[in-house]
Amino acid sequence: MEGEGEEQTSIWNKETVPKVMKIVSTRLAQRDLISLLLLSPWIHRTLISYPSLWLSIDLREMNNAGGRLIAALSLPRYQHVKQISLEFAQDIDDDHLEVIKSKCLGSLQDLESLNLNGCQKISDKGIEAITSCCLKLKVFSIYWNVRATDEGVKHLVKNCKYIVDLNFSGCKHLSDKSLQLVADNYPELESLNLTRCVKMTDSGLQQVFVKCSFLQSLNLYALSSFTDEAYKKISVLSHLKFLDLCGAQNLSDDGLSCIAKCKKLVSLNLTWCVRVTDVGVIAIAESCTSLEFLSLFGIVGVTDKCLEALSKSCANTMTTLDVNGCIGIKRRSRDDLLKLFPYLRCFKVHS
Amino acid sequence: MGSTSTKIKLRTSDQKVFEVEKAVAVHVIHVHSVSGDILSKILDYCKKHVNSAAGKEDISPEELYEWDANFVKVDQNTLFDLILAANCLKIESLLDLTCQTEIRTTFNIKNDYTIEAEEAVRRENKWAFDMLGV
Repeated sequence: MEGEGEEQTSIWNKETVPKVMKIVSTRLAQRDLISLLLLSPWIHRTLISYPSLWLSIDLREMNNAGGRLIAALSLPRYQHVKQISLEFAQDIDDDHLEVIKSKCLGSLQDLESLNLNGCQKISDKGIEAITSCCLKLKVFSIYWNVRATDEGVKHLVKNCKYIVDLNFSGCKHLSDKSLQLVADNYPELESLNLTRCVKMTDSGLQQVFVKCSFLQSLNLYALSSFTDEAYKKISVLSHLKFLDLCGAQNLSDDGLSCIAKCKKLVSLNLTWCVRVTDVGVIAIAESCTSLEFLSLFGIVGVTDKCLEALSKSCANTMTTLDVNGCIGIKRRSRDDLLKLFPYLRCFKVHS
Repeated sequence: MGSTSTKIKLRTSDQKVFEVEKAVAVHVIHVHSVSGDILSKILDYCKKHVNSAAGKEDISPEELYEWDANFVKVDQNTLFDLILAANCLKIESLLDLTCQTEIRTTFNIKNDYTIEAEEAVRRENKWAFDMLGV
């Protein structure tokens, strides 16, 4: 009887508990998952043996992030890490990345996604160091980094040949040179965020449109110096689904009519595109029949006519429509809008 | 009569008042949902850890782990109360300790780590835990 009890306990410990732990652990946040390692040596051994649990390192908003990252990467279980987020982490700089390059080279060979959003101490030097370690990188995000220059992008394109998703939002020193580098090196690019990259001009943007024909998502938020010369060329992006043109004060109906050729558009932000009138919006309505998200915030030149056109083609798909400040539209109360777009849930995009 | 440490007063759900040093009571909110007994235990925990971290008490990491292990040798109800209070007061390290203990109890897991082995695992994973607070 005693032997049976011991055997039961053994099965419980060595088979049942690990099985349950494996299921439970896939649903746990990083911190909790790692806490499980401290329960018992058996749990530790079992969890470590499941590689799928250790593909992500999350250091978002943590202090001493540089030191923490180095500590994490020196653990064998992170040898195949695919995703690292340092979004708004503090105390990480070029030196840390240099250390990682010299000590942890192997650990980053499978890295696919690197988020350095808000890591303002990192400069081109750090970008060079880290990108030289992760040649398989697909997603690179470095939002709000004012030290990054075209030099950094040069290192990125030299090291990482498989990028499909780039976020340069807020990297205000990047110029057309960076756009040229992106265009020349990433023909398969799917997503590009250039929010507030104010040095960029029509010429750089056009390069991207011509060479990155698979773009699905393009964010040009708060970029007011582009003109129709560039906007018209957006028409070649036949896979485009998401387009943010907030603040595109030079965009005319001509430009918008060209953009209408991107029939797959699902999300379009025209906040403060003050030159646009019914003509441009109707062109969009007639062509982009899957539109779900549209902002016309602040555009005084549009009237009820464009809403009728939109309703004809997108009544079944539109769930977000912002027409605040569109004084040319007379019937734009909540009820008015619901009559035209019965599935509307969100009436405000821009604040 | 200059005092170098600021004191804070805490009032519990059963109207007991505790006076503690500010360093010990890092988060003073929501104490009204915690009973006097539990708060008393929590303050013991915080004092111990703050003092050991600040070098005010001469205690080795191993001795601290043993102290922690004894600290959570309580009945299920008390353990649950400690978890709720630690969560409420956002005392991360105490929450870790009590949750691990609870999981071990629920899943009937024997913690057969040696102190050295456990310390090693703790050390190599220190990076994953917030170092702010106790």
